[in-house]
Amino acid sequence: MKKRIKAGLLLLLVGTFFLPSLSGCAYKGVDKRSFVVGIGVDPAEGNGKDDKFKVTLKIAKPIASLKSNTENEYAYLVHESDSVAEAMRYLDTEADKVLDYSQTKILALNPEILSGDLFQLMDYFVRRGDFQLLLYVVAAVPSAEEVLKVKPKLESAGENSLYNFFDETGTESPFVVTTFLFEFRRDYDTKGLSTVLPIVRGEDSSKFIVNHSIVLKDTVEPVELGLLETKLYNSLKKNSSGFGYQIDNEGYKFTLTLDRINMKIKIQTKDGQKPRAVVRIKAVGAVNESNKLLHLKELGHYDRLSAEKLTEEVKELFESLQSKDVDPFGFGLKYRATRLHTDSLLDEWKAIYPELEFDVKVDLQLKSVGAIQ
Amino acid sequence: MSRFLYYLIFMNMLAVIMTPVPRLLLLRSGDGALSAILLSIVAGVLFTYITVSFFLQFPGQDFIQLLKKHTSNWVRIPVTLFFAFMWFVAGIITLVMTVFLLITFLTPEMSIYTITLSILITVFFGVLLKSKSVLFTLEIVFIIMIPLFVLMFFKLFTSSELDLDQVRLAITHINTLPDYTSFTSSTFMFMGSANLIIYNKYFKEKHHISKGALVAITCLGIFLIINAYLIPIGYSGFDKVHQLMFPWTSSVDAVRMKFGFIERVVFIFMFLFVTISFISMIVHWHVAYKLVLSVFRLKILQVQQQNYTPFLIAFVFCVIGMWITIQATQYDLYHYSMYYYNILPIFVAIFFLTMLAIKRGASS
Repeated sequence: MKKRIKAGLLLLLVGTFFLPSLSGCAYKGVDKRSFVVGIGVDPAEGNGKDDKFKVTLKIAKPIASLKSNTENEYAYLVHESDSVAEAMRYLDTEADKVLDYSQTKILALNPEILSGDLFQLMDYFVRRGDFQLLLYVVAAVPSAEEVLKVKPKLESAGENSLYNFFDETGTESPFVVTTFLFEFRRDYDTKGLSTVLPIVRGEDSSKFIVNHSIVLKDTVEPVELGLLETKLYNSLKKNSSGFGYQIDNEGYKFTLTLDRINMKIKIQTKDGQKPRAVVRIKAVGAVNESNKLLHLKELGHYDRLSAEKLTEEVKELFESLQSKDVDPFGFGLKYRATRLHTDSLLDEWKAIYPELEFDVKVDLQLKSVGAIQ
Repeated sequence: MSRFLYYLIFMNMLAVIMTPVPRLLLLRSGDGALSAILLSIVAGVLFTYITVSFFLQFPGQDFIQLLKKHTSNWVRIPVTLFFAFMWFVAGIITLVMTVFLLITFLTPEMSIYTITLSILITVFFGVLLKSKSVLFTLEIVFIIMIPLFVLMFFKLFTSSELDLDQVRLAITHINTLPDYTSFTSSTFMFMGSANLIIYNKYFKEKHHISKGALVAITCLGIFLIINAYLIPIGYSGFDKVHQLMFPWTSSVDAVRMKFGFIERVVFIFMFLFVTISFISMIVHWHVAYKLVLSVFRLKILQVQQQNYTPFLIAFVFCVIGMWITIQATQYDLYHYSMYYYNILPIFVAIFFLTMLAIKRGASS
């Protein structure tokens, strides 16, 4: 018993000894923090100085309750500076609370700053450990500041509609490319792969349109992908699926939904032959709309019609990307990953890619024609 | 084999994520990491087999008793101190890594003193537990943590963000000559059985090392080391993965649970990492403390029946740990831990030589 009391006393002693050190803890309460929900980076407008970037922070204002508020309110802080970090440090002095970046989910970049090497721009976001690597990187048109300031009509209190586009819990459309920060960094830095960012267009400061995308690589100018190209990229590379594949072949006009798409790439280099990329695409789907009556026994025929059209479109996309020297589908990575490593492999690929021939085969299977014939 | 022996071995394997080993491997991903890993699997399994079968011959006796019985003092004291140093440094590396991780990702505004102190207080009392209680703690932590580990690996392997082409690209670099540091640092993962030098005291029954046990250890070891190396590559890309200071944390941050209570799984994993590093530190420092205690036992600190030398040793450990954590930079952490792993073969050589000496002493 005596021993126990002694041990207890010792513990108490040690405890009180360490107590003062705990009060020095730098934890700040939630009411002393401002949560930044989005960051925008634009080129500086200048005004005579040689600043490089204009940084916009979108800060959420706390709301009392969801019942009493009908819409969100945000505060915006804007500053121009030579580097992103410097601008954000300056903006610390404009806010009375600690700017907390742990909830930041949007990084909007103006396409004008996306050409050339992005090393300096992206460095800060990865180097600072408190940004999540799961934040969505988007290209913002007309400018990052305007996109952040858009107030969509459908947005209710306590939600951020820009998140809903990308996190796959809200809208799921094959037109919306989702690129996380870690993915952006990984694909941008990998030789033989290009990164793709969604383009968010802010319209009338009350609407977002997300259906284009932009391909980036440090060595070439950015390449913009249109509606159809974005959709194909998203379906083939990211396996996203959904409504909206227009097929127009031999007098039939279908709209298909594809449930599953799977792409396999093989790079063949045989002596004396041109290098070929053999692309096999497997897709399963159904018809949503047609201009003619459809017969079940002719499903095979419709398969073929749709596959032909899709093959054509995919091949066109590959060739146009090839001519612009970008590689979002990762043919180069595939080439490097399927051969034993040698030092000259990368140079070989650089010589191969401009001459690469694409051999696309689509195996499309329509499961049904829908609820009517 | 007792189940506690498995815990000791597997703990070292799991805790490797919380050491500089993954980064040291990834730094050499282009030249010789993968082939070194494959070599280290062979070496590690061999090490485990030799160590375990040695200690199985002396049930219920730890290395200190064996040294005392079968060797002279001029062998015993330097060897004991050297071993104590090795185990102490293993704990220090985990401590520094954990503190750096917390300060970078979890609490960037908190003072480094507070973080280190809060870890060291727990570890202080953990180290002073009886060896048997340390083993029980290890068991409890294991049972609580295994579901989380299963969840983590399930999420890591099934996430669509894992780029398999990057992993394949890493595997194509298998045709490079093995690298020394990669070899030693990945062998460290298989050295959990060396903890037997103290904990063998509690393995009293005579056991045999079965083939099944060896196969289980090998399989899990292969899975975990390949995993520790390839998962960061799959999430962060092969070409620039060496730029990441904490490749595992940064890679795990790429995993999300859409409909979980929290979206970023990294916080669950951080909890897991920190718990594992706590228990790994306690296990390592407990060994170091027992070894030091076998050499020093100060008479001044004898108060009635209680000798307070253990408290002094644990306190000195904590003070040194605190001091090193505050002094160390990231460069120091990776640079000096590399030296530590590089001298592991010397440790193995001395370990095996003393084993031989003991065996000779025992048979004569």
